Amino acid sequence: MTGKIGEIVAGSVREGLIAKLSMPNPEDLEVGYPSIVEGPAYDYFCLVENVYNEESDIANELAGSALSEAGALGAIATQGFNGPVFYAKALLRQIQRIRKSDGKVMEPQTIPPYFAECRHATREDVELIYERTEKSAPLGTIRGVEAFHIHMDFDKLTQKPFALFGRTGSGKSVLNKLICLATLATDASSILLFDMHSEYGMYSKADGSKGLKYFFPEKVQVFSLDRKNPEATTFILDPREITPGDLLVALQDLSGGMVDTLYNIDKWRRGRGLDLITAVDAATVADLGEDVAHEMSLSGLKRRMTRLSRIPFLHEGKDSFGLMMERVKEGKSVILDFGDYGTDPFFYLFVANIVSRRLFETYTERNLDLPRLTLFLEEAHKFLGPEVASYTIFGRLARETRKFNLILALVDQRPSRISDEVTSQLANRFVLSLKDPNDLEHALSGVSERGMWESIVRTIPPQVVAVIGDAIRIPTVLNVLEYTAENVEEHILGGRRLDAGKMEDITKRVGELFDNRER
Amino acid sequence: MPAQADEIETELSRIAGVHREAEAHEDLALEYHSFNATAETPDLIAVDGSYAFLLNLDAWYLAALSTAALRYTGNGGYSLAAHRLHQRVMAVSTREDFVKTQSDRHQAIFAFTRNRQQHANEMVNEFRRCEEALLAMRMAADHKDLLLAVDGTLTTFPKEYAFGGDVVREAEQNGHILFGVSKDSDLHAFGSTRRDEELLRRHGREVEGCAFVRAPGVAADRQKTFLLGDVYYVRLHPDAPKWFRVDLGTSKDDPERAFGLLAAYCRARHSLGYPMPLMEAHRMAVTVRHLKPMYEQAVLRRAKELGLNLRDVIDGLTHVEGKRRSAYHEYLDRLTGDRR
Repeated sequence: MTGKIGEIVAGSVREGLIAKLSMPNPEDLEVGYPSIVEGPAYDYFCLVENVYNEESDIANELAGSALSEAGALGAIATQGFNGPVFYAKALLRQIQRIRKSDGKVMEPQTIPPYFAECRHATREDVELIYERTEKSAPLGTIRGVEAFHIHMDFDKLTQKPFALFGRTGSGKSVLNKLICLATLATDASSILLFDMHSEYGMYSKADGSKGLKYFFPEKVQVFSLDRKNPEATTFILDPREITPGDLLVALQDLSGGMVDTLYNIDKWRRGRGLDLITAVDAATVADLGEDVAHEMSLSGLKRRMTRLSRIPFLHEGKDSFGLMMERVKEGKSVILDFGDYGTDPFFYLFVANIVSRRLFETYTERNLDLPRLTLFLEEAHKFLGPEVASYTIFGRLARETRKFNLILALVDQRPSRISDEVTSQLANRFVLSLKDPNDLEHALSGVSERGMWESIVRTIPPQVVAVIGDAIRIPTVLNVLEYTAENVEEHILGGRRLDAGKMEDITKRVGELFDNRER
Repeated sequence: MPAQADEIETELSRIAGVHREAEAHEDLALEYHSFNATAETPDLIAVDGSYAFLLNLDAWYLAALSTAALRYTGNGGYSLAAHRLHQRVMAVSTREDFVKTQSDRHQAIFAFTRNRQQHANEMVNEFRRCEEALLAMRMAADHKDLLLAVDGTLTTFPKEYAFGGDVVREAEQNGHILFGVSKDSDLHAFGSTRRDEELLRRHGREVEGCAFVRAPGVAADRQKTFLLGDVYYVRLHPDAPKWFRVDLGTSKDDPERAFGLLAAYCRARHSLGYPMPLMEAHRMAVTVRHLKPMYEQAVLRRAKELGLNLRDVIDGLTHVEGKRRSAYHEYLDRLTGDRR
């Protein structure tokens, strides 16, 4: 993966540089690889945007002919006087240029001359570009270079809303875990995370891998809606805190009549000291007034809400939100585990919306000096889609809360369903593999060189991520770190490695946990 | 166009009749020898040259010449091991009194090509052959026991400035097998009305695989120049679309082995049956034509410094084959093209 890859034969500042490849096999170069083009005065740090074979008359004539079965040597085996006889080309996009005289990194506002040599970027080249800061940590290695861990600045990352987009199976969960761990390791921010599938606590329920609580027992408190979770504090929600908006988000597809009825019930219940769930259960058309309520809408609404009437975590007077806020004020992070409820999106939408709304109110309305908190929101489009956006505070959360130290981190596989107003607020994006053109367009809206990034993201495999934003020196394509305890300890914890005392504490806690399970 | 259609039919009938007649009386006993490409082969050095005319002022022509030698290793594929590229610029004249002011070699080549059409082209072409021979000779002297393939026939003209013989001598002394491979040959060595290549294309189907046929000795007598090797027609790959004339300059007693070694370099899909290194030597040599604008810039710069009339010089700039770009028929051609 070192050495010359070709020479420049065309190019422009706007359209990128075209390299004629000297390698016989174009498979040795992939989209997203970093490369260096050596001009007389500058080195140009480029990303490979495309690798392609131009149409060739000779290839057209020979392809498919009987000659291909005659034991003839193919394109790769024959080297011409000027490189491969059948050569490929690559489109290289200049990202930065480095002045050779003093190493100054600058915007690429010019181009190198014809025949400028291109080569794979080396570790030394990459080190010139990427900086380490006090609160930086790596999430992966740069593609196309010997293993070199690229640092991101997590202080910058958690100052403004950011997003992690990728289709199912692209590696969102692993990357999200790494982002959370790095955020905690660097003390850049506390986090609040809705753990739908019990992946983030001590151990992942799915694959047994170690979670945030394992690595940061003293920084993380796990709450759970599921009483069976022995490592967690039971989460209780006071039904009096529920608003119509919370239900609209959770139920998603209420008819217009049902929505009106719900708001009418909310008005009706206030003077009667009822929570909204009890009020829906109790209200009649006569109570609400026949001019504003209809029997069909009311009975439909009641049917849709029956599932809320027997929920163990809804208890008047024992609300856990206060305790969660206490932990947040202490600088701790909170994982809200959904346990068995995580299989039903209704509960996730319902609880996440209520907690997030109350966080928003606490951070924005009470004029408190609260620690920075990053709120990770999976299935973000369900909170930020046009059909529910007007009922939720997430749009405002994305737009306004950076002023109040509450930062929204979106995790989603359908960015096209998130409103542009929200995506335009994103200061950083982690974009894993996406295939749908609409998703690609929305995931990269507002990004400069969007066309290039669309072609890169469309072709990258799972566990590879394009990172774009101000928390990384230049937009970069990374191979995401494999999620193992060794990798986390070596690369993310690094100098913040657990000492013997902490390890002993963790071991003890894990032992207790398993003892409890056995009982 | 009924009248023309009739004419086409009449004339084509005449041609077809002659061809059928010739075919009917063609009783050729060609002696084919089969051989196989060898698996192991020494490196092969391929030599070729090219030229581009730059300027024509009166009876003077200025041309750039380029000769390339590439050394290839056959290691499953074909890898370029080394190369040399020689480029030079020279003037030739079609007027004897001017040529007398030039070198002995100029005078010899002038005399050899006298009375030929396109005299300047013929002279520059002979210079190209000289340059190729000189480079081949140097390559032969600098290496041992390799294959040496030059473009074209192994012939020379009977003057003291012919180097073909020297190439053969150097190749023999250094253990090389010397080939001259002609891309296209007009020879009629077998006495047929058809060109030898066409004859082999039709009759060569009788034999399968790699094969060669020795051209009759009479071929040498029909050449205006001296033959320095034995003339063969060779199919260097079983699926080659063409038999090539190959002159074997050394190792004449074992053509089967020689062609087996050469055939090992004829397996590239895009040049099946032709030595791939020779194709590359050709591609490298013709870069002189791509570099023509650069040479022209230098010509204009120097011409100005030497006090030549720049208008004359610009009018004298030529196409690669020597036609003046300012010739009136060039203007008419362009005009016709524009109006098409």
